[in-house]
Amino acid sequence: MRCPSCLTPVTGPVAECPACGMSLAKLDAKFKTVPRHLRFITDHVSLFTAEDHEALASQIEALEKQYAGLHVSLMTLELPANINLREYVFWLFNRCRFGPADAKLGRNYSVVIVIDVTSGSVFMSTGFGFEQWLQDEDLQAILDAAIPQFSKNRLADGCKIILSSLAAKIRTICAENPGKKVRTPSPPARIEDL
Amino acid sequence: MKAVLSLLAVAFLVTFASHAAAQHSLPPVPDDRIADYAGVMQVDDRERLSRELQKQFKKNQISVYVATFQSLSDSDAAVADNLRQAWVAEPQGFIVLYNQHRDKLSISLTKEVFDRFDAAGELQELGAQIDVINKAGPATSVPLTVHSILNKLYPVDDGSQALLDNDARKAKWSFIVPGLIILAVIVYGLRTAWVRLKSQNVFKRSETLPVSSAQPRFGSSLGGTNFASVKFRQ
Repeated sequence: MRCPSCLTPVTGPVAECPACGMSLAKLDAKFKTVPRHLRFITDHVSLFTAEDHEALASQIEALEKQYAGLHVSLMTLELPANINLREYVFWLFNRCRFGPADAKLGRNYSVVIVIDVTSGSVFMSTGFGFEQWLQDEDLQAILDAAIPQFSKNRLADGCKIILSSLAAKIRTICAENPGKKVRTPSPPARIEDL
Repeated sequence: MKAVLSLLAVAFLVTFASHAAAQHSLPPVPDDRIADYAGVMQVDDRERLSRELQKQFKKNQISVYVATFQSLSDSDAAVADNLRQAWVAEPQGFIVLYNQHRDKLSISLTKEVFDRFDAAGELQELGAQIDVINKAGPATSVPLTVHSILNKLYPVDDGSQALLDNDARKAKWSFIVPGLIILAVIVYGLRTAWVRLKSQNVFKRSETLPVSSAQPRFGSSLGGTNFASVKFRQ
């Protein structure tokens, strides 16, 4: 994995990036207010019609019913220009708490999709539960599948494709890892906010 | 002139056999049992009625003819009787005649049919029925009258399919069509509900995601480190 701020590869538990010193606490000071969010979809900039909203929410709900523990959130925002979007999504993921409170570390199967209208970008990030199953390149492939729709400015259709691709990928993961049990290590005591 | 001709005709009838004279001035026997000289019947109705009359003849040996005229110089009843004598060769049969000018129906029954109605005491009832039917207009009243008489002679209970007139068929469809529509709506509703529930994985058991090993990083115990992005606007 890489540092969300400077993209330096990091292995093992670290409280802050050994290269740039980035940590969640430092990002709190940088981004300050956490945007409010709702279950499934939070459309802050009204990108979706009521029909699209309902269709996407239904698709997410179906996906979550199929995979226990999975939490998918879709959020649209109008972020300030020149913001480090990777940093922001990392911070947003941790501070919004999209999944249940006890879904930490390897039990966190949250997936967050953020659409920023300022930069005209779509971001996707996952919880630690998916860290080894949905790598950056897997997430990139899921987003790339929606490019044809995004290029036509059909954001809702693009999101539907993202969700479908995500479902297909998770199905593959489950099929390839039947009943695989991996012990989730205890968090180190030195990290205060755990 | 008209009066003179009538007198001549009367003289002729008196002098010679009235029956034979009447037959000479009568139209030929229609092949399809319907002579619609007034043109009051629709093509479909005429064909349907003709088929029924021919079917009745084959099945029950009853000979029925229909004749419509724009106007008649003689009385309708007399013309109907003459037509019956000229056209109906069988013991059982009748003529339904419609005079458009007078807007009136006349019936002439063979003796056998007359006796059957007479014996059953139904002659008056039949007359009253035809009076009512007469008000419906020629397109409807002519086939209705035919059916009405045939119904009395050969009730539907006896299995005479020909007696199922157009109205009866329409009544049958009036139940079948709404029933089919309601059934289609129910089937569509159930199918829609099934597809919706299936799409929401209601019938599927929830699958278990593989357990993952992870360690906290950068002060995070939730994640957000795996990341991808794509531009939808340059």
